Amino acid sequence: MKHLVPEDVVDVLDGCAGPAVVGHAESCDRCRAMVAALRTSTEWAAADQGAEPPADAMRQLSVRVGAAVRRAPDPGSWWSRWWSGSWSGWNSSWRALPAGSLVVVCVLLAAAAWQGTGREVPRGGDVAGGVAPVEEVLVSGPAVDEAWNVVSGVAADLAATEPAGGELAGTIGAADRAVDSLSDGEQAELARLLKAELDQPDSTR
Amino acid sequence: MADAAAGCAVERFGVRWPGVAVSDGGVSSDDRARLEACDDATLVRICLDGRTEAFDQIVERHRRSVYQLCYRFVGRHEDAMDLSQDVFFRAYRGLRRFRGDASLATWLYRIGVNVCLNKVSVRTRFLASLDDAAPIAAGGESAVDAVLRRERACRVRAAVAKLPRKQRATLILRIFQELPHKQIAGILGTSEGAAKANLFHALTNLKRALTGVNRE
Repeated sequence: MKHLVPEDVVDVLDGCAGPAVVGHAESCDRCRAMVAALRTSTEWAAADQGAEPPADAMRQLSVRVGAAVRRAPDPGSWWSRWWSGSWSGWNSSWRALPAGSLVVVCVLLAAAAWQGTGREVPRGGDVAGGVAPVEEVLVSGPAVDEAWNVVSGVAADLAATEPAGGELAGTIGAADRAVDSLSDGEQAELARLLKAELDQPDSTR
Repeated sequence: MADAAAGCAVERFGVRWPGVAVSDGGVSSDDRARLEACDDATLVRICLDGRTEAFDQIVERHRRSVYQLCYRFVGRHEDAMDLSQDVFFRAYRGLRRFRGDASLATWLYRIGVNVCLNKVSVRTRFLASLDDAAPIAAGGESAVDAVLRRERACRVRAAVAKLPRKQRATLILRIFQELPHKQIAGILGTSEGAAKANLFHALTNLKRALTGVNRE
């Protein structure tokens, strides 16, 4: 007979092995030693009785579990069943559907809100000569409005080459602040003048 | 036959419970006695019917074995209490998934083993000390023998804590909880032969570890 396999050894330890297995365990030195070694470790382990829980610990456990359970949703409620996945016909992908829909709706709402922030009503009053209010020009950006490009160029020139010249301080952004300090009418007039300047055929920056 | 009895019990409780006088979160002694008479499967059905008191009875029945299982994994009373609470809470939340194929005790053990193996790191230092061991009995063995026994118990716990996860779970369920191999296989989701093989390797490693300790 071959040597005992692990399951046979455990059966011998449990005392429920067949006669052939028991006979081999008694006659084979190697298997007998193995059984004896494992019997020793079983006895050592079993000798550790563990600690009895302190007095009143079990009642405390019941109280703690009871409190936690009463705060939890009823395991028989439909949404608890849905959440735990035990509702027949609902697998994990179907359970993800409402959550995914909620995420999509949130993203759409956030996108709409973000777009809305760029569409504030301009403060400008009367618009002279059909020219857009200065603030709208500023919002639309340099790639759209030529007049803004001129102002930016002037500001850059002042900052780089004439730091002490004129009434403008020689710092970057000074022209922007100067434009901001103008009244609505003055800004409209400035925009008109700049546009007229640009319309001249020999205008250069 | 048993199902019929369980059904009767549920019906009886279904009629009985609406009239139960509940005061300060408790139930009358008559209803508590009725709950105590119910088997586990019936308690589960009553609980799923919205009666949390039935789960209290389940906890009362299985709290000691669940606690001792957890204690064997962590070796500290406070941690064992926390883990036991977690086991019962998870059981409550997943109560509808209990189909009754296995006993409720087996199902709770399965949850307990998973919770313990997940929350107790393999590298966690086993915190058992001589103070945690069983007290020395006044009579019977000598003081020297008692100290030696406690010291060996601490070594065994430390060696068990170092076993691979499945071997440790198998050893605890078999040696300390004294469960049959078939139930252990059901708890660990393996075959009975695999459970026996796990026990064999656990005992072999335990022997090796304890012998190594003794040699030092």
